[in-house]
Amino acid sequence: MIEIKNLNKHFGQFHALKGINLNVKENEIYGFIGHNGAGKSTTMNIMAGLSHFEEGMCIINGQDVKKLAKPGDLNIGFLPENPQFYPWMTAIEYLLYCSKNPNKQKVKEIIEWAGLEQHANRKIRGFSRGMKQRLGLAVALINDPKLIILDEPSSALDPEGRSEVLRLMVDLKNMGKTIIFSSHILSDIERICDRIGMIANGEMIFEKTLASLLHDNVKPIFDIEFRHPLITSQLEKLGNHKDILKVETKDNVIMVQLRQNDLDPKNLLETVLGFDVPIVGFNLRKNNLESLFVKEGD
Amino acid sequence: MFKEFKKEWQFATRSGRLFILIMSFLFLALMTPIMLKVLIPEIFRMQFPNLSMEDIVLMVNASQLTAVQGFMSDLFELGMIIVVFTLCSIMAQEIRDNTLVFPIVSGNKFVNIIASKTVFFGLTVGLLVMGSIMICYAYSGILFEFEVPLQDVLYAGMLQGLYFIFIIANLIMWGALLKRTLPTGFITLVIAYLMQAVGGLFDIHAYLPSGLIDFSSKLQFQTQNIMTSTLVTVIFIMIMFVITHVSMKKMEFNIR
Repeated sequence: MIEIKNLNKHFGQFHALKGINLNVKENEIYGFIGHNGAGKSTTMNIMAGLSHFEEGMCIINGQDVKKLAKPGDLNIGFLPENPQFYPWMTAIEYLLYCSKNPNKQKVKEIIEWAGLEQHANRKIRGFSRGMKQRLGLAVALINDPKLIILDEPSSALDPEGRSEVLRLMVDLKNMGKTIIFSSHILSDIERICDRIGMIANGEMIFEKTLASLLHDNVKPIFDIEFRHPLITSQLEKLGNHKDILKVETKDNVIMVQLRQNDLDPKNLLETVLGFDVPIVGFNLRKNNLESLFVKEGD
Repeated sequence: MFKEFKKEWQFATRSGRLFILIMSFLFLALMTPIMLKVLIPEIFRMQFPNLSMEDIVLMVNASQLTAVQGFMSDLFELGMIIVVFTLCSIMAQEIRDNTLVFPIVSGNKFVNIIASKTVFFGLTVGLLVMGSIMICYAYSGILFEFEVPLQDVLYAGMLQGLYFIFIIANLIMWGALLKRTLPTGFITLVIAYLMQAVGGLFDIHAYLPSGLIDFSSKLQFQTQNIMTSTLVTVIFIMIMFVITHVSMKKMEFNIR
């Protein structure tokens, strides 16, 4: 659905995108992550045909973006980071205005899907941020596109609004749509994405499935709580263990990071049982994207 | 294209811009004859108490002709400022506020967006100009006497209307180029007044859009000059349309 190769873009002297490569497959939810100013929105603007680039290739829905007569020819749905509407229009009027083939029944269905049926005839100027975001999703869907590009759809929303937007995105995937969305809220990415691409300083850092990303990059960490603090010799023994990468202590709790993902924790457990100090807890810390994001960002 | 016109109509009515334009033109159309008939003679009478009413009437030279000519002069001076600052945002603000992002991605063509703005606001202002000139003509005819041929006034109204379409095309083009509302308004006003000054100074009104204003406000219609000026104005409007279209095709949207 999306094939981007060696994409380069400058804003004056500033090299915003430095040879980006990105691929999005059909019917997947692709999470595009990166710090503020990393180049996410610039890449998405190019994908939507709203921005130009100097070098590289960008194929969307089989069409070369550089050869487009107008952005609308891409037949995509696009939700910008700050969706702007005509505040003097009602939600229904706006959806009809953005429809290629205005159909009141279809507009009504999409408004219901977005949960805006009670506000359909209200002027958009009175909408909350969450309602605008849902209306933006409805607009992105109005022309029945196969590919939907969403720039920070859940940021600036309260937890309830975020959950609602994520639910709508999963709905869209179930309808057979392909979605690429950017966010810096990593828990959102973890919740719904099939694959993830990370950009930093205009360069693509990686592009992987969530599971392989965590497996390859985040080493397992065990939190072991003892009834009494360990003595120095016991800590040294742990530190010198062949399977252990790092040991940190805080009061009675020892944080142990293993060298590899597939190491059996049995060896570690046997070692700590040999200390003859009662163990209160032995937990594998859940790996998450947050730790990786901080690491790559650094 | 129809939905674009509908959108511009909704914008003009719901933002209050159409109301502002109608009330302003109506006010100017009704005030000019009243000024000539009542206010100016009254001011003269208070300033020069020794003058008789007949002398004052001679000094003021109030008639339907002077009322209509005075109104057309007001249209160029005051009416233009009102139109320019009421409508300077029609393109610039859309680009600046990113309200064009959804319509463009949804498939709306640049040419339709520009054409709907030019035609809708051009026709609206053109009709308002013609209508207000007719109101001034009728009201001054009632206050004084009908001395100006109706067809001359209609003709003048059409020429002034065309000139205002040229002004709208300026607002759209400069809006697309500058992307800022007030500079768009100011540059349009500078162009209009500069053109009027240059046309008068070098006697080249016939080759400029300002000729439409000059010939119509004098109610003197030399076919050759008017044809030239009309043609030049239409060519200017077309050129500005093309420049706006090229500029929008090269434009980057949704930029922070």
